[in-house]
Amino acid sequence: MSATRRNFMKTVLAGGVLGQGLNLTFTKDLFAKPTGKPIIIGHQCDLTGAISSWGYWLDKAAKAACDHLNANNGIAGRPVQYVVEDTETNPPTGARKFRSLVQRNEADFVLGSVHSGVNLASVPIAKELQTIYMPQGMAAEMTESKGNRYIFRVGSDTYSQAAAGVEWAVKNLGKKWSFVFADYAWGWSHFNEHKALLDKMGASIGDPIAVPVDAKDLLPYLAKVNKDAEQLYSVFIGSQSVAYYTQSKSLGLDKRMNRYSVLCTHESISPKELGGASEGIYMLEYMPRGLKYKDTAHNRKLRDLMKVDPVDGKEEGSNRILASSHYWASWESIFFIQKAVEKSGWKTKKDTPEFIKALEGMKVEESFEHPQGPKYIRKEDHKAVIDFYMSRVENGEIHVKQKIDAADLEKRFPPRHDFTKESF
Amino acid sequence: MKAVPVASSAPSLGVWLARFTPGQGFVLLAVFLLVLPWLVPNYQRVFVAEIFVWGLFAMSFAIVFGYGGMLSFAQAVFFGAGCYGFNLGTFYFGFNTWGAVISAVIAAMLFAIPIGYIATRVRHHHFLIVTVIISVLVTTILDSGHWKWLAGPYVTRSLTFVPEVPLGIVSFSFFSEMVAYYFTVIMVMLAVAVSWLLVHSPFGRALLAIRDNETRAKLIGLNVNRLRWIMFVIAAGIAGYSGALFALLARFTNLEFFHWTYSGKAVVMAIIGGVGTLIGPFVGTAFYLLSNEYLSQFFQQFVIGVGIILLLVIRYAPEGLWGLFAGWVRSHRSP
Amino acid sequence: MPRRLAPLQILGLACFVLLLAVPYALPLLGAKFWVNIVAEIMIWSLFAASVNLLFGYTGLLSFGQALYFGFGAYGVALGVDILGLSFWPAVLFGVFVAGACAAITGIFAARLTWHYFAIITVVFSLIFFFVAVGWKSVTGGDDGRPFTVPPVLKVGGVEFTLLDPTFQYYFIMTVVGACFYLMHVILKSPLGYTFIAVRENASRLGLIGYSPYLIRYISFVIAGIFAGVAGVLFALFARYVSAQYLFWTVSGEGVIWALIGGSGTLFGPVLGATFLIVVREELSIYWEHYLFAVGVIVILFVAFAPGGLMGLLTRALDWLAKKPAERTAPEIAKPAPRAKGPGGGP
Repeated sequence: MSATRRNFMKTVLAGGVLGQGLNLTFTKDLFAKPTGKPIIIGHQCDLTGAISSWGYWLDKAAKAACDHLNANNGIAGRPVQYVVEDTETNPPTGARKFRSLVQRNEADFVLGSVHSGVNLASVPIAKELQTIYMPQGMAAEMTESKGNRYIFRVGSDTYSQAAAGVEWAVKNLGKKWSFVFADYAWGWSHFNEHKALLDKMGASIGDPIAVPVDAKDLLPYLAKVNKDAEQLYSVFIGSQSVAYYTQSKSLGLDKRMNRYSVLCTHESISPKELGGASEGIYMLEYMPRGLKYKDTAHNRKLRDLMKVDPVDGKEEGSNRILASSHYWASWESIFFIQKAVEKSGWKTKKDTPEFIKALEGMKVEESFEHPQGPKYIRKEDHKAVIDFYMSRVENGEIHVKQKIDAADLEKRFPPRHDFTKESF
Repeated sequence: MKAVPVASSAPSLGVWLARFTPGQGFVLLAVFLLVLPWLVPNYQRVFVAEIFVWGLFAMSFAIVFGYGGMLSFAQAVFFGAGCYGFNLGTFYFGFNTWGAVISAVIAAMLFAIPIGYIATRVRHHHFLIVTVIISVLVTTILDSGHWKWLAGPYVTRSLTFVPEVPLGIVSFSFFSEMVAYYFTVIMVMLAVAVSWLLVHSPFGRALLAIRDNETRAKLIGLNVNRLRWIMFVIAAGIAGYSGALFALLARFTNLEFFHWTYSGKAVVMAIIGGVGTLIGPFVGTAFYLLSNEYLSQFFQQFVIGVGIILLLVIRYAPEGLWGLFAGWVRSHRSP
Repeated sequence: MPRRLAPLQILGLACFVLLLAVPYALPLLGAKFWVNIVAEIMIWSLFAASVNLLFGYTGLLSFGQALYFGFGAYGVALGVDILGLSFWPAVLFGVFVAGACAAITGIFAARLTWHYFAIITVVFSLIFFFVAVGWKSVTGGDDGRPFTVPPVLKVGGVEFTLLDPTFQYYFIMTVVGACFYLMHVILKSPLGYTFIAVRENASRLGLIGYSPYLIRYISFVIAGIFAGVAGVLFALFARYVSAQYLFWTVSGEGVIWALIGGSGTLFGPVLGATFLIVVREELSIYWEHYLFAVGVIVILFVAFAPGGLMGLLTRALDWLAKKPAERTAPEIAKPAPRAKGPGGGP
């Protein structure tokens, strides 16, 4: 199929005619120039809609990763072509875009949206079209009962997040928990994952308070929070999240109990812009927003590529705040693809089963390709085992209080599913 | 009178109410509103004030629909435009409360002039469809991220200070709930009074004529489209005004207020209360918000309850709850 | 009349032949992806036709058609995934569930006419949307629920499944075609004429002994069933259901497709869905905010061409069929007969 006009406008095609001509002037690139048929990496990205503020960064990071590869001998000596399509943060559209990436743009591998609904809609099609799919959404099911062998997770999910945070939180924040969350799948899965762990630890859990997704005024729901709860776990997104911070603070809940959440509820939002509403809240980060808590040469280099400041993660020349806990996963996904291709000798889509076997159980060290830290992709459930950080909002900045090592975490969330038996 | 048994209080209440003239009724209402904040506990006063704000919003719909015959789902756009106009006045021009309210009304009307021009040209279902599409378009544009300076981070903008109401040499602060309540209620009452004058003016009567029979209205020489357009813009101004009052009260604005589902709420509240009068939408709003407040604690899917009530009202009391009540009182009036 | 309709019929026949050729022709042209898009267009055409049955013929604007679409989709998905039904029973279950939902909600909705009908259909669909979003254990909420599509039928040792794109395409084409044929039969029957009669003048219809309520109700349930069939097909096509299918945007798209295509004509919705989906597929490549263009197109159509694409097409064909001498300007400018709102008054 001829490259569509889209490719022309939106892809990074360093191996193209124009690129080659220009590269010849730089001796550095002479021996690093990838040749041959490009490997096409598709990105099903949320560029518009509810979580477009994250999608922007996932797109930027993936694009930067492909640029980096093309400047450094590509993947197995072949150039990388990056194609992005917008999901509109909507499952039916996202699924269609997945097909479009694979069938129209002939993508060999696809990075997924951050929206679990889009991911779950694409999972069955990934198997049908026999294409590797790396979703970024948080729902655990897609690397479990609803998933298949073509799905890999490089970031975290609700299962690993609960396992990472709960122990520290019970020890340091209190044993009496209360839950308030948006009444949709994401909120409930956080509640269920936490409940399973908390029950085992003997912590008490109040009745869950599920807030209708369209509720703007949360006061009636916050009024139901148990008076003697020691900590309040919340899961909201976007403007509802902002409303939660503002109103729980104006009710004085922050004085009576510890507010605790995952960073997703504060992603791409600057605490400074909230006028102190989120002050004091504890949050589980998947990669620190502040550079000083992960001040490695690799991380500094990646953040320079993203053009963000070291404290707030604010982009140069715009108001965008780095989606610090998520963007690295799309960056690292590209390099996982590179490693698995090179390890398995993947040439065309026919070799994908070999690729899967190579990626299953793959371990990587901390490097520029994997700045988030050492990690490995579990053979059984295709989930990555990664470092987490327990952080707190203080003085309008997010500060890390405790690092939770991948090595300690692993035994706390044993695989619940085994893909290795599944046929291709 | 002695012969009337005390037990039959219901009919006697009706008889008692029927004795009041509309003027007396108005005085009674004013006294009630004056005393109300002393009867309700803290936080609830702001809630009551909020009922008035949303009620005014529902009334702006009732004017367009009940008097203009236009089922508009764009009302929320004007409420939102009022919120943003308020932000603009407050944060960029540094106006005080009065200036911000005025800029809210102007912003809403500026939105309404082109929108109304297009929408009032089409009829019936098509009017409904056009207003929905326009609301969706406006929200999509404002959601695009270029408007963060106005909309605030994550499309939510909080007021960083407590609003003040300067009145000559004295200045009242919204810090006091009483001030918030009285200010809101007085402002809402002013808007209602203006609307009352409007719908009872020759202009309002011309609109009723258009609603009831457009062809006849055209024959007697009325410029139908222009009258509908003017009405649309005025109602938008009222919606924007209620948006500003809301921003003062809640101290935040959100892009969501532009969304047509908020128009839908106004439609539901106005219809439950009754769209043929100006007071009906307030009754409907009070009913909706109060039952939401108290029922949602026991019954999460409150929206189902609303649906059933709406069905019953449309089916059995098309005049709305207020119409039902007024009819009941009227039935006790001696001929 | 037959002479004037002929060009349109020829065009229709040509389209049908083209549709038959799609799964073989498009891959040859290097556009494999478009086979699925055409299949999707057919499904959405059926959905738009169900909106059109109510709006264009019976004069009821439903903003809640997604409800029956979603019920059909969930019916087939849960039938397979929870009840463990095989293909055909699950399909029938989906259609049945959608029809039952229409039959129950119709009791209330069909009593109302325009304003209130539109409002109540929105309210119904919002209610069920919120229920579906909150009831995660069954519906999967907004995350949705992928499921495995069972084989359609086994003949001897050969298994026909929707995983084969060509078979899937013809399967969808057959079902959608059958539905359109059925709709054609209904609309040409006395029942179909009463639909139009109830739109034009309900009280007169009441005077000659028909119950407008009953006619609206029947039309409502039939439209619900067609929307349900579309939902069933879409769930099978996507191998996935989510509460999103019940969202108002789905209903809104149905209305827009019917309107742009030309409400009150059998194949108008097909034109509308085709036009806007192709616009979406091509335009979204260049412009993320393509919805803006769609909105403007719709407003322009509503304001200046209420007959929709079908209206424009018939006028163009009429004009071409005339001898050049007869092609006078006023004839072209004359507005196409449009689907009027019911009754005229409020």
